[in-house]
Amino acid sequence: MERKDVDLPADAPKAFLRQQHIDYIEQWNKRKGEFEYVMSEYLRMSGLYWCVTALELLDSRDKLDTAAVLKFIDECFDDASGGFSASQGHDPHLLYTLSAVQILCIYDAMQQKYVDGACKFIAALQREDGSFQGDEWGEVDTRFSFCALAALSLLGKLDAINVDAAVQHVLRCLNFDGGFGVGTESESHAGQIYCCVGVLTIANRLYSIDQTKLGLWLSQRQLERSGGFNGRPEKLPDVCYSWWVLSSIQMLQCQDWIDADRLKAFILACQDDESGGFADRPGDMVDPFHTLFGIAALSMLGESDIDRVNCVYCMPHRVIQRLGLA
Amino acid sequence: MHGRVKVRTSAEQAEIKRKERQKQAQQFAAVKNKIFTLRAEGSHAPEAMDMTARLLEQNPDVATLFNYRREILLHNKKDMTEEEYAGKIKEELQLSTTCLKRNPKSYSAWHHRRWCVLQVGGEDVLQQELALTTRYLGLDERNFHCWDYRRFVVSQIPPEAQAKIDEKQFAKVAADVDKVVENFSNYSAWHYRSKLLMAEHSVQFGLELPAAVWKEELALVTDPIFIDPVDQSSWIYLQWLLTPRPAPARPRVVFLHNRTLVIVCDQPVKVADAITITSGDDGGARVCVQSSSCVGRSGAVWTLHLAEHCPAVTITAAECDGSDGSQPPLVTGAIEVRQDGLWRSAAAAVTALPERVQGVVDMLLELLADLTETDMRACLQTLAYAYTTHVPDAADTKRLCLQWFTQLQTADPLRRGFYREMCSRLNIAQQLSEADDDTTLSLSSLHLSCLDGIESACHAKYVDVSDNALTTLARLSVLPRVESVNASGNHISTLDMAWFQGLSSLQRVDVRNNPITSVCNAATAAPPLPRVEVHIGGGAVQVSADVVDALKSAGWTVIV
Ligand SMILES: [Zn+2]
Repeated sequence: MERKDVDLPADAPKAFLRQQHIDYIEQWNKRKGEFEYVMSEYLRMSGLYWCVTALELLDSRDKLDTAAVLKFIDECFDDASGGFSASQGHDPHLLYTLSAVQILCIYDAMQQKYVDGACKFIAALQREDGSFQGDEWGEVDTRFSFCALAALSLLGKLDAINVDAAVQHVLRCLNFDGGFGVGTESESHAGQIYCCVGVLTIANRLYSIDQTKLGLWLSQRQLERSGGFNGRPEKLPDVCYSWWVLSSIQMLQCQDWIDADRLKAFILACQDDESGGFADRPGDMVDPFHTLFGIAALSMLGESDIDRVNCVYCMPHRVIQRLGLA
Repeated sequence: MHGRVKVRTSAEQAEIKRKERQKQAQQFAAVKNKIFTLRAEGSHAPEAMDMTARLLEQNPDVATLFNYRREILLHNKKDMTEEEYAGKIKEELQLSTTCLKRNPKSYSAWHHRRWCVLQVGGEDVLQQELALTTRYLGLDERNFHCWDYRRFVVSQIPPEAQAKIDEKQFAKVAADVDKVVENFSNYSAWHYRSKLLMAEHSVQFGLELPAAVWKEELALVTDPIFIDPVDQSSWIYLQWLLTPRPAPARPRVVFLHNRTLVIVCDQPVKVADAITITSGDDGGARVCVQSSSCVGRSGAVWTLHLAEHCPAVTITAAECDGSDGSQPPLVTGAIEVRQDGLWRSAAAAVTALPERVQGVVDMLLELLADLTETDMRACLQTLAYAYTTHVPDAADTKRLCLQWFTQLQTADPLRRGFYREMCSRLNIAQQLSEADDDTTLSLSSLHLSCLDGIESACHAKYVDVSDNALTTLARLSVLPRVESVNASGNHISTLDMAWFQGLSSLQRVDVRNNPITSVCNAATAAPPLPRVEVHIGGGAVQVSADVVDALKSAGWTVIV
């Protein structure tokens, strides 16, 4: 038995609390003066992407002021570099450039200046070895490789970078267990695996890795007692890994290597039936991040009240189809 | 937000707490606004340093504040002596330490440290930083930010100093690792160990290690396995020790029918564009192998659709040096195949395990006898891994692994689907090795959940996969000459017309006794499929008019 695991409380929610999640996200975006909101300003653009996508998957776009969101994105667009920042006054970064591009695609509100800007910004961040740094300060991470390829493919501009070099870098991050980490020397981690498998999927290079070995490692993230996924061996389960692991599994097309019903029960148990929203584990504090990834994972598991999510981009599948990417 | 337990308080208490935190947030926002104003004015004043430090201590993830600090430091550097600047950088390291106390996983705080080290470096700083990582790994031995930072610090030790600090410093690093390895469930430490060994011996795969080193590693991992046979970390490391450098991929079977070419290799082909296909004597049409032609997840099976019908094709592979080690080239001479001609490699299958692997297998078989069913899962999996990796085609492999994977289906129900697939692959391989009729593929009633491996009989005309547990027939694309498919009695709920694309000789498909409720890609499946007789319904299965109409719209003759 895995020793690091949790038991699902007997009174934990067993049904999907759709309306409560819609209300939770609507409320979250109205609490502008609150501590949690102020303290998360540094990642606001991603926070908005989590909320926008969750609401889209719940067919509730009207719960957010879309005009205000688009105005905010425009204010975060940095003409000089071409990138987007998390919020006004913050510096542009690859992470928030992807989030902005995702929202613009969902709302079908792309503008030529954004396309040109993002291409310029992203291309300038590719390094000699094919890897990407997040901004001018040189932090390198396979997350940024994913941000670059995902954003450019959404824009139809993959030719702005050296895709082959990007793939080579990701393949250099492959570990002895078949997984991927932050960099060439880093330990395998389900979040980074999602990013790297995403890069290989977008670049049509999945055949270059041992998919059986990686698929097995990913399926071993499912824990006996809770049915939830952890992100690395001997760690606790967490709702966000339901997304990182399951979407990777879906990209590798081995969905039936895990127990979907047990996973679903774990995710549902992480809902807060008082406030709405999802926490990382049953009984913890909820937040928009885990709320989106809980909803998205349930969508992949076929929950009927949720629109279909695309496993590569974590956006509504219909948007990806509209863009001709699926 | 991770691991924050929801605390139940009275409404009154909650309101007081909320107000308190709101006030704190207002103060935070006010200082942040002041900082952003200063920055917009181009200020590099000390007060900006004070204010950013104050906010970062509360919220270390605000990367822009670190950016501003670095701008100020770089700007003011020109007015400082080297010593003064080094002093300033030490203050930055101190700030980062304070930040890490608040959030040990703060990306921006760890990155700031790297930047600082790159600014000043020096042996004393590196020493100090190593000590810091040791301390942090003592608090959380799985903090991957800290492990990554430690590797970075080690990499900064200059070559000329390596010799000097080798004994004192680097050996200390290794000793620390050994110490952590004693805590055998520390997956991070096993990972680090694999990386150190790879670098030290310039290898990538465990079995490539020099024999003496390999033996030491085996001894190290054996104890935890015997003490705690469930711990995943040590088993995954052991599997790495059993992993050889893959041999270059070689074609095993090649078959051409009409415009479809099937290439089956014995290993994944990692550089697809290294394969060239030419047709005719003039070396005419060249076809590039594309990733989209890869079938399934092995990377070894490719189905290519040629632009035109040609009597014969020649397959050659570019010489790749595979110098980066990760990409074995496809080594082959020119292979020529004619229409409906089957090419098979003459190479004999390896059947004996390498000596070192055999030793481990013997040890594990002994251990197995003492384990309960739940405890033996990792052991069974590792045994199967050893056999399927080294002697995939041996009769022993099929017999033993089939038994182990069947056992695992009950011992490890969460991953039953994986074991079913492994059993399916083994069953198919076994059937094909025993089959005497070349053109008939008989795989009925074998509990198959997938059809991986049928490509070995890619010239088959008649396929019987009835009464299994299949949900898809996508794998049929490797049988370009197939005329008749019996897939009755499976679990297919959606019939995807794309499965039959390119099967230009197909005449009959039997999918009776499948719970088919929909048909997809009926309109888009191009090129148009020839008239095929499809049998649906049967027994208790209700056939909807939509399903019949969709099949008819694809030009098929439907027999219910
Ligand atoms: Zn999480």
